[in-house]
Amino acid sequence: MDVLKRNNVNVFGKGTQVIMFAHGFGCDQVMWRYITPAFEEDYKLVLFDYVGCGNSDTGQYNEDRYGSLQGYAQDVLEICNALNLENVILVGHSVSSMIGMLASIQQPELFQSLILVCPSPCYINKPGYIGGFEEKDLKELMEVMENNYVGWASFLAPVVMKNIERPELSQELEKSFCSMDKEITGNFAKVTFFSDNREDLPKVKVPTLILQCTQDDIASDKVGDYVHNKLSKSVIYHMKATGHCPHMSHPEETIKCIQQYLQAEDTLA
Amino acid sequence: MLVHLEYEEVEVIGRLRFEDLLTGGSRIFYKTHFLPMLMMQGKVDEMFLSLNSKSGMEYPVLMNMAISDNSENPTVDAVGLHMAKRNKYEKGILEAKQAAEKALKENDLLLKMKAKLERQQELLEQQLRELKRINQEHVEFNKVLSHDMQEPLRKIQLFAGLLEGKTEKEGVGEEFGAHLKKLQGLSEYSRDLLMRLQRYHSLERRMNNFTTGNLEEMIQAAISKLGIPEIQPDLTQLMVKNVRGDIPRLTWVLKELLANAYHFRTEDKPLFIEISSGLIKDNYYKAVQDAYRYTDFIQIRIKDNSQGFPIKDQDKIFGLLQKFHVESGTGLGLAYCKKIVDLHYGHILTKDIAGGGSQFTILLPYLS
Repeated sequence: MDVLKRNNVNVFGKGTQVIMFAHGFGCDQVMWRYITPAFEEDYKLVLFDYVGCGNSDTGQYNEDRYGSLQGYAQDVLEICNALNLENVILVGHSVSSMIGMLASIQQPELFQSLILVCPSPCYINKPGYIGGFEEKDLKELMEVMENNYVGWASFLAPVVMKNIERPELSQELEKSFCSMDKEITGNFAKVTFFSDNREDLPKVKVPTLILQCTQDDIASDKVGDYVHNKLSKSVIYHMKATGHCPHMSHPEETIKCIQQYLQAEDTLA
Repeated sequence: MLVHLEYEEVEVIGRLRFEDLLTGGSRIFYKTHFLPMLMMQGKVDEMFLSLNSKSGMEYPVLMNMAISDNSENPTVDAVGLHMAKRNKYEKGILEAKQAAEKALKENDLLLKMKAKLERQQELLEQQLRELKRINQEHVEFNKVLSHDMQEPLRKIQLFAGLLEGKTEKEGVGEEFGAHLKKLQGLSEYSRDLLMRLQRYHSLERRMNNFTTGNLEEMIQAAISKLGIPEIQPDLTQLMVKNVRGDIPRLTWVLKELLANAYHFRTEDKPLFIEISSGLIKDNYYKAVQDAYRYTDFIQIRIKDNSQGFPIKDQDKIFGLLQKFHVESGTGLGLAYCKKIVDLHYGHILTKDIAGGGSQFTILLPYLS
């Protein structure tokens, strides 16, 4: 089985030090396109799609394997091993923060550091822990997703808006960006939002950076602080960026944060 | 829209964000899926979202959104259509569709499982037969090792002894005596090797019942058995200590690995060994393809600052007759370790550490 094809792995950049970018739930590797140009000159960049997202090989989907975040972590490890990567800096968004941590618990020697963009170890409120959501919200999420997969006729809502020109994005890309298989996405949503990985945090031995956004209602400040407190070697940056996707909404600040952290790491090393 | 959502203008403008008006589930999907799409391609069509009215009533809408300009402060234009009646109707269709899909999927799943079960059963039959055949061979082989091959060697030694007595009396010459000594030495070595092979070969039938042991105590037992003062591993990173298995044999494995680190120590640095342990999740299925169940394993790592192995091939390192140092004799040590770990349904592997040293990792199923 070809891991690189399965996960639609793309390797580029002129450096040797590896930065691997892992996308979050609901999207694919294209979400990193505003970030990667800043690192292309000095690093080797590895991008990929999880099975069922983007241009991955959906035929390789296995419900048992991907019914656990461990299965996704195994993807990350398999890609690292297939490319013989070492000292990897893993940048993971949202659920990929947890996936990256799980991979690093499994094989800490593969990773130099983890950069966690908007991490949350558990999205559901638990006794003594505020994840931000109730089970009811997640049931709603499933419903919303289901509703969005009914092919609505386009005349139902008037298209009166002007689309801005984005020449760098081809039509084809537009179509494929964030495209997801319905069945797989439903399962991915379940495994993402119902997982509770709080107990795994203390097992992470790799140095980590947490990028915490302002007003992130998927992973709140409190959740970010919780992660920071439980990780043994972590640094937290509170960003001006709002929302849950700073790498898309505020790429400059995100790039600056990552560079600043990597520089600090270099000086210490 | 404000009227429908029961808000006054002052309560919303400049106070609430669009996502604040969404239900929890819609907010997640909007922020993880639609918003990235909006940011990347400038527009999203036909989003089905649910808004929440002030009193908590659900207000389903179908929306289109587009970023209206590319300047410093881009704004988003949004147009939506209330879907209440349509949604009710659609919900009915959707439920029916889901029920049909579910039934179809279950039926399909059942058929697939049935076919899979039949295939598995066939495979199981083949494997059981194969196992039976191997077992028979095993018994015969063991008899050959323990008796048939030992006997001629014993006789060679006996006759060599007789000859030795004779040469001493009659003085046949130094060269003859030296050759005879070599013959005796070789047959002694072969007998010893045979005995070890036989022990290796019959290991599964001599395993002790599994019990629970304490890893730290096992390491201490291994250290005291070795009796080498330089072996003082750092045990501060032992996070998990419960080990289940054949405790005396696992202790033997630890002893062997510690001895290994000692044998390969570098002369210029004092020997440093660290043993750490922790729980990790790994796929329980290693032999069955495409089967996954992530379960707990205890991971034990033995890290040292030795020279590392002269060869890198894992199969060879744990090979039956691989010999790394003259003192260790027949080279069964690591093969024995691997077999013991395998008999626990675990794994053992080794890796050189960048910058010098080597590391053994043992994974054993963890039963809490």
